[in-house]
Amino acid sequence: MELDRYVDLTSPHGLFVRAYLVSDKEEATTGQKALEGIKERYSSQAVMTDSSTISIGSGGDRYSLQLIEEPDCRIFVLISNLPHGDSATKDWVHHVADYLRQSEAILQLLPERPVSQFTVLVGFADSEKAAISLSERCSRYLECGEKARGITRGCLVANLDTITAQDSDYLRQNFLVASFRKTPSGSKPDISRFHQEFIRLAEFVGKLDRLCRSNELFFGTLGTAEQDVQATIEKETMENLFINFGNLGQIQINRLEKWLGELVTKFSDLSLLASAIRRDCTTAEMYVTQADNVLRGWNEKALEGYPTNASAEISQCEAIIKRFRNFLDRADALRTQLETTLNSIQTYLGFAQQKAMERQGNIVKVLTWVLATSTIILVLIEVLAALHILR
Amino acid sequence: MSLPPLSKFYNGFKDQSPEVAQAEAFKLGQALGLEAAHKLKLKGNDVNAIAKVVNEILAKMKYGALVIVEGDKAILRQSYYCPIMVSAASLKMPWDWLDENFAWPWMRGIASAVNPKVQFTVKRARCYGDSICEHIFEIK
Repeated sequence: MELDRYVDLTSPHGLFVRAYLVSDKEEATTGQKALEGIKERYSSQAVMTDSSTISIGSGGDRYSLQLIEEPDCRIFVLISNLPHGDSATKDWVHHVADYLRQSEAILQLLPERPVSQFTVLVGFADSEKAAISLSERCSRYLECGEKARGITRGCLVANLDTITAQDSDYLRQNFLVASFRKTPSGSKPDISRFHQEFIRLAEFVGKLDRLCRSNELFFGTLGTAEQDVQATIEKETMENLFINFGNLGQIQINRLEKWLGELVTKFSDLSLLASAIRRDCTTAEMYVTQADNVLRGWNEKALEGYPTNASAEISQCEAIIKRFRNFLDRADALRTQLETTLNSIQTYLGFAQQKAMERQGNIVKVLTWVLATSTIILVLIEVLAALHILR
Repeated sequence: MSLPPLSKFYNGFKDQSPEVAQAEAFKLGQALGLEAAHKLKLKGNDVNAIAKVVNEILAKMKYGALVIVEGDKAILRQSYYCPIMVSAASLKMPWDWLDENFAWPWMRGIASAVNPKVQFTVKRARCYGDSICEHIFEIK
């Protein structure tokens, strides 16, 4: 990935990463078509520099849009330089709005429903103190707070908590990277590495977020399902098991069998759902591990009591995993409850059927005795008749 | 008397307009409704009759909830898991798509076999985030 071929990474710029999930049935050319659409839209200003990259020159600004195709993910990476050289560095925060507005116009031409969009604003400062000051000015200008801050590889990295990031139907995160190396050229490899890492993060954390969102409705159903099971068990137990205990007729046995069938269905539905969520939980844990591997490499130094970006990101990821685990724990409890009730009914039914069989056995015994007695009487009558005693 | 394979239905219709999928689901429901009404030797076409036919089918497919008649309405309330929801979760199909384009027109189809003037209203739906599903059959 040569993201810095057309954009100068040693001057302030913005990096916009949009990640998409790719379904098996999707056309392989979808990403390519999106690139071509953008090229067409910018016609004379856009040049296809290679099969996966467009360079766009718009009003003195240069943008580079690259498509990265992964087996299950498609990522668009847009980088834009500020048009001014040193002055841009000096008044950097005032150009942030331009960055966002112009880049947003291009991003809007990309396909809908990404899993994530990461916006990374990259600036330069003379010292760590100046980097902190740049970060604070930037936050003020964008009217947002900083969720996390940390120093890594000669850069201050801050996670900016903007309104757009909170109210979105996909994951949006905004970062500021303020490099404070002595010479800007010295920071190029670090900045380039940050780009790669933010691209990976946007993919992993975006996939995790989508997985959680797609299960949100299922998580929400557990409460009513628990109540439903509780109410059914209480009602049916009272009506079937205790009230009619010791007085079990065929009608009760039929009711119990029907109830047993209903509980088996409930048990099976819950098991299927829990299996699906368990699969997703395992996938979610894998995404967290992947994100953690990227962030651990930053080895951030904490700053002024802020959580580091790694710890903030991972605790957010852990919170998502907790939702999956919470569902699974509660579903397991519910399954145990259903299983216990199922076992009780099966035992009870077995007992009832045994009793019924015993009753049938007793009837047979009585009938046999009656038959035997009748036979003896008949034989006696015949004998007596033969001896002419009864005549 | 059972649900058609939902993944087959979804894959067959997801790229078509919703109306096409809904019409097919309605047709499938109507055929099942006619079969059930015939089996039950059903007389009448009021909400009680609709409830009988819908329940016959729901019980067979182990839907887990049954329609109850309240006044002039037959109401289906489901607070537990249903086959549509379980399929959506297990096979990664959009739950709202399955409800809108399969389950609801399918149920309307079943009821229409009893009375074509039936009106089917989705009052609450868990696929939209409501706590339970509540669907109402009325004859207008």
